[in-house]
Amino acid sequence: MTMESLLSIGVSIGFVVLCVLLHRIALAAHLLIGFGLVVGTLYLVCFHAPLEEVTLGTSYLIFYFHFPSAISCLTIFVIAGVVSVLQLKSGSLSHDRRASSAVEVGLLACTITLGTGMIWAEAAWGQPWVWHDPRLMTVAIMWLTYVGYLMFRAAVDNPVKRARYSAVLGVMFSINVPVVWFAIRFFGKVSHPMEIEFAEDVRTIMKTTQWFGAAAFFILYLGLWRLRYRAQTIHGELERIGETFAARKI
Amino acid sequence: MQQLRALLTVIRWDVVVEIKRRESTLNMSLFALLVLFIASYAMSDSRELLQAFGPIFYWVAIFFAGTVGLARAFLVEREGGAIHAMLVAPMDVSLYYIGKVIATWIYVMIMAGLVLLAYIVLFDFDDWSKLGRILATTACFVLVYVIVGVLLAAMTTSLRGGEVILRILLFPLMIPAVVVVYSANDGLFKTSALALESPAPFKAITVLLAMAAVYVSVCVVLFPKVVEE
Repeated sequence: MTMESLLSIGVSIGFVVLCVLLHRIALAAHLLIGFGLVVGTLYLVCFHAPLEEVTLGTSYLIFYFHFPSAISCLTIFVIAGVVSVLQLKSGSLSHDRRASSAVEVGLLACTITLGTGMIWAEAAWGQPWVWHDPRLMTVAIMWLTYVGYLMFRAAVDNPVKRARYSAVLGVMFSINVPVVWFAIRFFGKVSHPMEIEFAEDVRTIMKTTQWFGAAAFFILYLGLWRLRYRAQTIHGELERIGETFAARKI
Repeated sequence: MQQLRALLTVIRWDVVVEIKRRESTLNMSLFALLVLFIASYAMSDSRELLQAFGPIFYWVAIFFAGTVGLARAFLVEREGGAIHAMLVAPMDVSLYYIGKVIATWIYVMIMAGLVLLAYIVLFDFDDWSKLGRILATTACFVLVYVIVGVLLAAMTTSLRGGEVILRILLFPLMIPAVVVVYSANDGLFKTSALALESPAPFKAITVLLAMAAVYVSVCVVLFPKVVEE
């Protein structure tokens, strides 16, 4: 095993520990750290990363926002799938709130990925969308399935039934995540690049900016996930109080 | 053996109900034939147009009409409360799902057969050597379709606006299967609907069967959670 791969494993483990620790601090502090890191990414992009790439020119800069959102949305949808499995095992409503808030935040990240991707595609390919690219197609399908998930939730009134059905959908839809990840490997590279090829002299700073951005956005999305979970919990409590009052005719 | 008998009972019961009510197959077929009829009329001026776009409408007709049958897959059980009896019956709930999938596959295949007949008449199809391939690809496509559709139908039948929700959930999940059959159109109907490199029909069948295997293994595990009270 090379030194570089050992370092990558060490950094990944450290990052997971950091994310777990972040869950223990106050939500406001978590969000502030997330925003601060995103501003830090912006600083790196503007003042450290090279402003032009050999083939794509300045348009490549959007990659530092496109990639973090893409990697975050896939990770968050996997988390939603895992929490859905836990919901099916335990029947807990809090797991349902966790899964649905993860889907909401994942969908936001997915929308940003598609939006930034289309802007980049317009600059790089001359058109915002190509139908024959497997990565684009699979991400669009994933976006549509999770929009359906949220619409489905809105149509079910009974909270217990909603939780169970949503968990079933959460598990089913998470099958899409590996399909998106391996789309280019399965169907071959069509238009979407598998990774940006960095020039040797700027490789380190570009890689650092890329992964710093990914970590920063992921931490921010985790904060937003907590925020949505809290909002859903309060909403659920208010609904419960309202039902109690209605039952007692107050 | 007892489980197999139970499975056959579920299929027979479903088929008997359908023969008596004649709702799903008739509605689906009429809807699909109307789609093909309108499409063929719109392109009747040009034989090239008919042959180029006909296969697309063949799949579109099956795809959209199929939801009419899926939406009714659990209607009788939910209306009559028979679903509770099914749940307390001495059989594995997953078998009930598999029985339902097989029965629904039979109706949708009847509809697909009629669509193929209409396609042959309305779209000037005369390459008879390809009929077997088309039927095999259709059968595999319909299998993937009903495996996913029956699970979703079990969830959406009792909801308000259930039919619309069923379509919203089912269509995105079916896009990969649609892309696979469209990309096999070259080998099936001599046209290419998408710019994807066209695989041979048997490759499309392999991909569809793999998709069916993945979906059925997930759905069999999830179905008991869907019908649990």
